[in-house]
Amino acid sequence: MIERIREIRFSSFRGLPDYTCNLDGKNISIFGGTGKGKSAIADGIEFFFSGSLRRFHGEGSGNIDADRAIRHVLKEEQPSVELAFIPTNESVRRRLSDYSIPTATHSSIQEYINQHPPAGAFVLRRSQLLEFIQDQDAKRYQKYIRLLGLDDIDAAQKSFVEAEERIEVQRFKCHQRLSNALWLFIDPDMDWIPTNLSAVLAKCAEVARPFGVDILTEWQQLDSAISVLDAKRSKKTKQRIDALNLAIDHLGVEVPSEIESIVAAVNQLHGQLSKMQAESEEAVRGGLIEEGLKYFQEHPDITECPLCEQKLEEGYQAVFERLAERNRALGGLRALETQRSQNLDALITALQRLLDQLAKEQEQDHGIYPERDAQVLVKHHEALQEWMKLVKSVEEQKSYKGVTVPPVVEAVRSIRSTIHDSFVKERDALIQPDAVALEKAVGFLQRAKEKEPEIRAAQSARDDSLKLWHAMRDVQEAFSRARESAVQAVFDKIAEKVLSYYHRLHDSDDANESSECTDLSLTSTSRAAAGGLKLAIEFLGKVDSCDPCAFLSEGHLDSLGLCLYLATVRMFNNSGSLLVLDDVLTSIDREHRHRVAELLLEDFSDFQLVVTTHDEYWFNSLQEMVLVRGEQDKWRFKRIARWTLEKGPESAAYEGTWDWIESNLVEDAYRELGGSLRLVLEDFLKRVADKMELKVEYHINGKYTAGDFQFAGIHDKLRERLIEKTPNEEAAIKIDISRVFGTGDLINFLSHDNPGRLEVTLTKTKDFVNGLKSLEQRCKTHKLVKGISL
Amino acid sequence: MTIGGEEQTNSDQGVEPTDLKSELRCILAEDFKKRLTESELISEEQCKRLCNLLTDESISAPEIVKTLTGDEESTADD
Repeated sequence: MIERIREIRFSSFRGLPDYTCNLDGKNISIFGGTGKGKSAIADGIEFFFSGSLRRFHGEGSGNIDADRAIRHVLKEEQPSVELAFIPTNESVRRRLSDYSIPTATHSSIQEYINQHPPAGAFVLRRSQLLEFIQDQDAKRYQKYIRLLGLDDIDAAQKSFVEAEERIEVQRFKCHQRLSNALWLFIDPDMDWIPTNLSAVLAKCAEVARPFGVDILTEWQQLDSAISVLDAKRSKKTKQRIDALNLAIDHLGVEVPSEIESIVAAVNQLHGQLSKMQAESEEAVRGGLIEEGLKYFQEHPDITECPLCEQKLEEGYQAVFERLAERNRALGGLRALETQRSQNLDALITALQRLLDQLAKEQEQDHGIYPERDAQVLVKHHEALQEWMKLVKSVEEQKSYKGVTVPPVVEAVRSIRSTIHDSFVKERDALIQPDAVALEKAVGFLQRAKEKEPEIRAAQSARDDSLKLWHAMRDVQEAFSRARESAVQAVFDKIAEKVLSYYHRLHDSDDANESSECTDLSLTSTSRAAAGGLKLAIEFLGKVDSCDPCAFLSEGHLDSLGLCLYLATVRMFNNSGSLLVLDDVLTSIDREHRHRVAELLLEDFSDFQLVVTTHDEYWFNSLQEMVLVRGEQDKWRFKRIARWTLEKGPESAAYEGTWDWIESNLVEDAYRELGGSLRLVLEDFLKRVADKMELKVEYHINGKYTAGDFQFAGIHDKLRERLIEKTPNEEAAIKIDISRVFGTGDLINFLSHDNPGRLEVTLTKTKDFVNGLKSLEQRCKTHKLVKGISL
Repeated sequence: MTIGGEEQTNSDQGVEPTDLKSELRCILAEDFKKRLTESELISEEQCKRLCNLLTDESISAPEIVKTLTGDEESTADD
């Protein structure tokens, strides 16, 4: 069910003390001079949907007391605006004290309310015409990004970037792991650094060749090569040398040297973070602000603070922007926290590496360690495990307390170095001078045999990680490019729409008059991820990609602003929703205003329009256009004649609508209805005469009165035709005819300052009105009247 | 709304499609798929799974990595 607004009721709201604007589900055009309360109607709609008025908040609003400004100056009652709907007969009323729009009972009305974007996206005022043009690129970009709702896409983009970073870290670790595995094979004497498994095998072949190993091209041949070499060694010393070699290799893996520098960096960051928290309450609230911003992004319709449940006095937009600004200001804090977290991760990784190494040595080598050293190392291992727990707790608790490198780190470094040196000394002493080369070759091959699985695994992981990293880069690049191109495609569409609207307002066959703006573009700047949308035009086909403000005339700028707004509404707002244009045509020249009317009638016929203007020419133009298009049943036209503080806007006396007549058909007011009754009667008679092709005496001035039609016998013809159509209603038809045509000078008496005026009673006037309405209904039923009345 | 997961709608007034949000997501999803297909490093299966990820509201870095490594593990070779 598609709901539309039937009435808007204002109570104690700004200049509308107690006022009802009747739309009857139609579009409405309201004409009135300056200060007649037109804008208060637009204000009321904005207030209903947003709970506040944008112009009373934010930049340039000074010290306006927004609550006071919304109240009627003479009324004590709570201001409220109530929307009544059709076809569902329910109304929803919002008071100033309401934090949000009260929930509607009918789901179709709730749906109607929910489908509306923030009020700024469908209530346009004259002062806002240039906003889209004069906005900074970043602000314009943010507006459209919000309209496009790119939060999920931005989140996806962030995830792709984060995934690439994770894989990059993984790749680095794999590379490091391979380097570490190959490090043991570096021989400064040989001036050789291995880069992969094949290089190690090639080196094995090279060092074994002098000892009778001719072929060593496959890893499977390594064992037999070692056997060949082993057979040439001294049986007495080889077992001890092998054990020492293994332990020396293990001890050669140094205690990570970066431990101290990482701890120093962590402490420096902790110092900076503690200082920031001590000096700024804002920093303490950093997490809260970040969470708040996220909540606001996910809930663009909220009108109250989710924490304190207080109404957002400044409106959603202002609070959102302030939160975003505060969050940006906390960027330094966030960067430091990220660095701290990365450093602690690196420390934990280094420590774990050390613990693993010590565990391995404990298992494989402690048998040949001096007993006392082995016991001390076991205790040091336990102490390091305790320190690991402490470091992890610092990271998990996000506390900024200082971290100290325990003396055990240096003690482990020292004792391992001592054992290493003593083992090297012992091994070298065991090797006879003529066996140095042989033992070196055996040591190399045994080391290769022991490390081959590790190197193979590290190399495989490194290759995989590299492949994965390249693939991830492709994925990330694919998403990033696809996002840019999709966003730009949409911006191109918006620009195309804006330009098409602009051409519809300005294109002309007249050679002397042409669209100043011949092309238009909305382009994401290279900083699109950070936010930038450049609006540029081509001026008269001569100057390309220029700022509209630099070349367009004032009128064309306003016109372009209106086109930008309308194109955005057309492309983003829902069909059936409201579009309020509050006196926005002032700056557009008269020659082009009727084009705006055309545009609204053609492209926004699925919206419910509320258009106010103080330009009578345009008001009439729109009305005539509606009439000739046969769309009278979709529009209401309202003239506000005056405004008083006590009563608010009052419709023009000559307003020829049944609503006006009916609302004044009371003892105190009916004698003022002469003009209106004359208008509706003459309008009815003209259309009946036209349909029935009644011959009326020709008037050169084109003006015909009710008397002219009566003189031509319209009442007789009408009576006959109606009775012919419904013979069984003859009596009722005759009563209607006599009440309308048999009342003598009722209208004249009511129209002029005539003594006869006092003789026209309310009952007689009511009979006339009811008779005329009944006749009009009968004529509509039997198609005896042309068009539809106002 | 999920990326590439919404149908495009047309207004009943004969004007252009108004659901730009869905349109943007459709363009993005199609373009993303096209670019992934062009990459020699992404398998058909990975491409399919990555495109499916886009329609998942909880797309996250670990999920993306898992999608890629899942396939890598099966083809890992020295």
